[in-house]
Amino acid sequence: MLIINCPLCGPRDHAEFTYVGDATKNRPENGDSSNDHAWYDFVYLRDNPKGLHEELWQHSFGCRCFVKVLRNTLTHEIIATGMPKDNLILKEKGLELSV
Amino acid sequence: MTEVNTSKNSLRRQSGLAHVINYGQFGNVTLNGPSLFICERHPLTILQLDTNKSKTLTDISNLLNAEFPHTTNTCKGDDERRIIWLGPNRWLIVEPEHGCLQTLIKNEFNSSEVFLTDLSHGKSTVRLRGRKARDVLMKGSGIDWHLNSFGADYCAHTKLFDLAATVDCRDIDVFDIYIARGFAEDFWGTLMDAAAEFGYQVD
Repeated sequence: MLIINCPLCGPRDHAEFTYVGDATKNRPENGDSSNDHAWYDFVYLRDNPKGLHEELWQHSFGCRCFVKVLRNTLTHEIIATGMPKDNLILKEKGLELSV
Repeated sequence: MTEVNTSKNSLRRQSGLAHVINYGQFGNVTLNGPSLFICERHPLTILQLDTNKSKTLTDISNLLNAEFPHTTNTCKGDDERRIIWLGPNRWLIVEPEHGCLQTLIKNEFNSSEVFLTDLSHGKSTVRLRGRKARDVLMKGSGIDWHLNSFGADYCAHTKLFDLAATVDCRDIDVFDIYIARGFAEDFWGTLMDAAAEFGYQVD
């Protein structure tokens, strides 16, 4: 059982959340064809890291907001949570993404 | 062809729990009487309001003569008009059905400023009251129901008995639970099972 600390609602069971995906991907600037590779990367390519990973979850049974979660994919430990704009890696000093 | 009955009574809102509610005392009721009192609140006007314009919200607040809660997971108001925080820029307005709330707001505000969704037909509301009310809620959800964390005028949007529910703490031992109408009968049955060991009365 995972407990995710929603920044708005407080600590909740992970069953209230829906996994959305990798939070490290950045949307390309525009949609023109010169950016095809960037769009292909954004839409389809995902890493499968062993260790710390920034993810987006939606609190679908609660406030319905998107929550950024820093999770260890090896131990399932949830190290930090925040709003989507937050940089959780910087918040947790000394921790780095292992890709 | 069957004649359509358009009399006022035929259009009255029907309760989603009408077929399952049995009135009386049930479960482990002791000589001290039941520890829980359960009833349905019906009919209610339940309106979801979305707006990200603070001036518009102030104007609506003045129009309704009601204050909107801005702190997360809190509510304001009384049984006549209750406003529940649902999420950022989103609230639930609940009042006994008069049939004019939505029209009142729509007439005054531009539809691009305020988004209204009438949920009156889609929600069933159950009021749980009594000294064992928190014990029943504890059986259905893992959130902290202790008085220090979840006192009067707090609310939670959570999974209660595996169903999406909004729980509004009206007073120390009084809770209003909003549940999707389609799951209301299932919820009612589970609630009765959870309450049986404490002894309950359905009003």
